[in-house]
Amino acid sequence: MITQIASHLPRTVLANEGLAQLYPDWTAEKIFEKTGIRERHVVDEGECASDLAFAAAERLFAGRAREADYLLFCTQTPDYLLPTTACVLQHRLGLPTTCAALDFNLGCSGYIYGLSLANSLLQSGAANRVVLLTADTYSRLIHPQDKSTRTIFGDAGTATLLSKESGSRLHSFVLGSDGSGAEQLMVKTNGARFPRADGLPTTTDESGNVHDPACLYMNGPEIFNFTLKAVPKLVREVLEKAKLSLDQIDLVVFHQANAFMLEHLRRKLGIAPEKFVLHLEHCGNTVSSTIPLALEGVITTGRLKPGMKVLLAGFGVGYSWGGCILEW
Amino acid sequence: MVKPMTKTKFLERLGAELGIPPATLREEAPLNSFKAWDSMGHMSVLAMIDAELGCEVPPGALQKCKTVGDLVALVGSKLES
Repeated sequence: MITQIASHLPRTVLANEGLAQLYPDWTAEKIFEKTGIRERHVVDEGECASDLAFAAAERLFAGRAREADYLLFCTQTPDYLLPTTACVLQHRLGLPTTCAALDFNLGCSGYIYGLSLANSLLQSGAANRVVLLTADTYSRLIHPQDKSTRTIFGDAGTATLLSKESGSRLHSFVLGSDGSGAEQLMVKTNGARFPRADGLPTTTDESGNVHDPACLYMNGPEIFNFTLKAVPKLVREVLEKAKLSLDQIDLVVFHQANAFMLEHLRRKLGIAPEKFVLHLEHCGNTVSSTIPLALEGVITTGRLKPGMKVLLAGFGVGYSWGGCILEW
Repeated sequence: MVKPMTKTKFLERLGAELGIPPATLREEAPLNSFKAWDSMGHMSVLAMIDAELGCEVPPGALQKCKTVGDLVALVGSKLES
């Protein structure tokens, strides 16, 4: 089903050395040791998630007919409250007006959900070619004095073309949600519930991180605690559905949250390091773009070879999670 | 592989995660008196509890712990007497 993946990272780079100057308690190397990230790309003033998705899609369509009958855009930082940004992108990309277009709001699990939707559209015959875009600009949501999020997140956009003609196959999707964790990763204001931050307190935690309700809040330990329970269960359920054992999986691509979390999950699940893909050192956690960026990386380097079975898993904000098998 | 652990061993492992000599790790010590007890420290301790005790920590429970003794109580049922 997956034919090709392309990506775009914004030009501006925020390296650990720059962050270490802002946070005197931390060195560039300490940030790398804690997160596995050396640098992240961040948008400039006026640069939107749709611009990142557009640039990725332009690379995807280079030398290829601009044909698609479904455009799915996964973002939590849309251009407008309405209309759906996917319509704006359909026009900007020069896709035919027969192309359906919609946004969906998911983060770390978003790519798996997008693959699930695209796979269903193709299998049902509702579409023959689906373009799945992911892009976010979390850097615009982060308080400058919240080092717990500023060291982790980067901005990026990706574009994936899915079609029936492709030799690759997607199957054994497992999806889930638990809204009891909604407040653990949240931007509280600018939606209908709290249009403004008026009356909501700004707090500073014991490490000096500022939590402004208009900015991204992440309770890292609680998210980690959630993944300790959710991810092993997710992996087990995907393997059971696929009637495969972990030994039969050639590569594992998880949402690239941070290296500490990934390494703990890898050990807990008994996944060999050579099968486990890490792709965050030079881009950070790019939310719904981490899995396609990692896949693009292993395709480009030749690490992903025809016939390989890949276990994909995304998990986080919502809480929301999803996993599947990609046969390349 | 989860192995049985005594309270003494747990305090040793906790001290290692927080960079505190175990001998000075008293149960009445407030956790927020340790510089390493920040969000990364919380994650390190959660990872240690998961890996070495195989113990699920209920949502929000770790952040309610105020002292070393509260952490011992949190995993108490998994410790050898």
